[in-house]
Amino acid sequence: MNQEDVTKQRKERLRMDLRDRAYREQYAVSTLVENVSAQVLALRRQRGLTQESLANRIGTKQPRISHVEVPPDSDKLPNWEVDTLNRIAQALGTRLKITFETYGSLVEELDSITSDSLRRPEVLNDPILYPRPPMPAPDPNAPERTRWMQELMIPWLWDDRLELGKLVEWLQGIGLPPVGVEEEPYHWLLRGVAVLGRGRQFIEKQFAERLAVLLGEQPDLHPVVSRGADDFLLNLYWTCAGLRQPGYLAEQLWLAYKRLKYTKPTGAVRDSLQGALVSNQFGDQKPLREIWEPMVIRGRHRWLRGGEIVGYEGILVRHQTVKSDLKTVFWALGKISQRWRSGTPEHQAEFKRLIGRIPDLIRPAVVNELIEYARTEDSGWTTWALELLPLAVVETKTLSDVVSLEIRAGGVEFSAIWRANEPARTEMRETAHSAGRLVEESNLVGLPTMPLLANEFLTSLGNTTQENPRVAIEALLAHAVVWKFVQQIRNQRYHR
Amino acid sequence: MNREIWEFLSSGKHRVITMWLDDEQISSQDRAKMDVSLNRLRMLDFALVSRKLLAGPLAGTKVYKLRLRCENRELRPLLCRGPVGAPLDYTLLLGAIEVGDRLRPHDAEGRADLNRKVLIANPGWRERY
Repeated sequence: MNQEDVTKQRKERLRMDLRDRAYREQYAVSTLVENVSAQVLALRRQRGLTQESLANRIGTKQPRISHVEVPPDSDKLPNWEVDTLNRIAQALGTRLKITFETYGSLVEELDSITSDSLRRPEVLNDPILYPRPPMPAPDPNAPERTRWMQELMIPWLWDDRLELGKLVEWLQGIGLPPVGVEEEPYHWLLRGVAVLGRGRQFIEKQFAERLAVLLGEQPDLHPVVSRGADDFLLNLYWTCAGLRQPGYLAEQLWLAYKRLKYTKPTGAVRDSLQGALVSNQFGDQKPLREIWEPMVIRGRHRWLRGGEIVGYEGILVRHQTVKSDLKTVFWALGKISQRWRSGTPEHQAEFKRLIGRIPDLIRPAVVNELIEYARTEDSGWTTWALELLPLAVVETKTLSDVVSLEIRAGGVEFSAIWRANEPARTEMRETAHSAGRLVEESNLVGLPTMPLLANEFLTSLGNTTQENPRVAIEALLAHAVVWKFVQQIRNQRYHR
Repeated sequence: MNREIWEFLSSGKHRVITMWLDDEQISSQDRAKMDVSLNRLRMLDFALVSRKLLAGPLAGTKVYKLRLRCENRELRPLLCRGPVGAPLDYTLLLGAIEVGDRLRPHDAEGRADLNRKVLIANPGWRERY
């Protein structure tokens, strides 16, 4: 029996069923509820919004959106207010339409409500109101095969239908340029959307929505390809990781993560899912140490736009709401610092910026915790700080009998001099005052004591940098440098 | 991305869901609810329907239950994806009713899973619902 006959037969059966009053009345109510809830969900997904962000747009709470998307199951209509539905429609850039129809129209509608038919363009993309911008062109400066990939993908994404057949093929490497080093299907797919100009954002969103639909099919649980399911998943997740569109992808990736206990994937697939999760996370989600810890331990991320830093930035952002778990952040930073020992100045600057994202960095308690952590043997912080010496240290001298160090940070100058056979002398002065202030004089010949020195130095810096996280970072750097330096001096003295 | 809804044929001949609807004397009102739900499964992508309509997979199986709260009972037709032919299709495996967090018949999940395995071994034992 062909598809046309099947549809005809199905409609005929419904036509007969609808003659029964109880059946048709319930069928109409259920259809209405299903259509509204599915369309709100479909539009929210099309816009890349979470339930919470949609709720914010209409000035309500997330449960109210959930109540519309997943209405309580009953025989009657849920108590949705027309006003609420109208506000949701407006927030989604659409209008609410209520009409009265015949029961017979249900027969005509039988096969017309699809995932595609529920979607609507936003106001600015409404082809009636505004002329559609021209389709983006492939990047003329891109290598030939990348341009070819863009020529394949742009028309597919420009077409508004959620056609996933091609995506499934591409994720298997079918119809793509040859696969080799750095030429896995996900590389090609990400190159394919890297077009120039304003069209890029639109293209990426379209792509993310299709990936979300595909993820929603639970390919991890029910393979959608007959062979190479692992490779398929791996490419799907790495594509999500490289695309970084949390509004579209976070929810489905999170659900896939929750299904791990059923799916039991290979290590490579698990890694790729973790990568996708980290690069598509929201700051307000619960932290998942088990997600990012393996990434930190194993080091370099296989594919994240902008290199590995994206993943680490994710770690820091993730912890923004979890102030009690700073030790894990510091631990991660230590690991990063060990790996970045030979980083370029740009890397170092980027790392400083990242540290600036530590939650509440300017809070003294947080700073103290960080310093305490930096002092532990395996923290890696001092190594990292030494790499950044040029940022903080003005001058160091190591003669046979004199060691001196000068650091300028946050408007404070710090100098320490240790002479052989003389008490160590540490001075600190604010640049506004010409005269130095003695902050420490050790009784032990040649052995400066760190805690007092460091605390005094840092307290002074902290007083001047309460409102300025950037300077606080300088202070931390300087502190780490001093600490390392003092350790070195002490070791030298002991070993003499 | 339309998909089909299939119905398992017990012993290769008896439609399990059609028989169940008769045996349980499911009212036309409840059948209307079920038809709408199955229609949604057929026409919408999995993410748009799964959370609301489908619960599962049930422990240790690849079986889902369709959640339908009806007049005075909870209908739970059990189904799976695939398992033969197009991977996105669904196959209704067994009719069940949930009473107090338990399915009736009491081993419904196991029986549905068995039906699924039987279907994999005998791909022809199904008809369009």
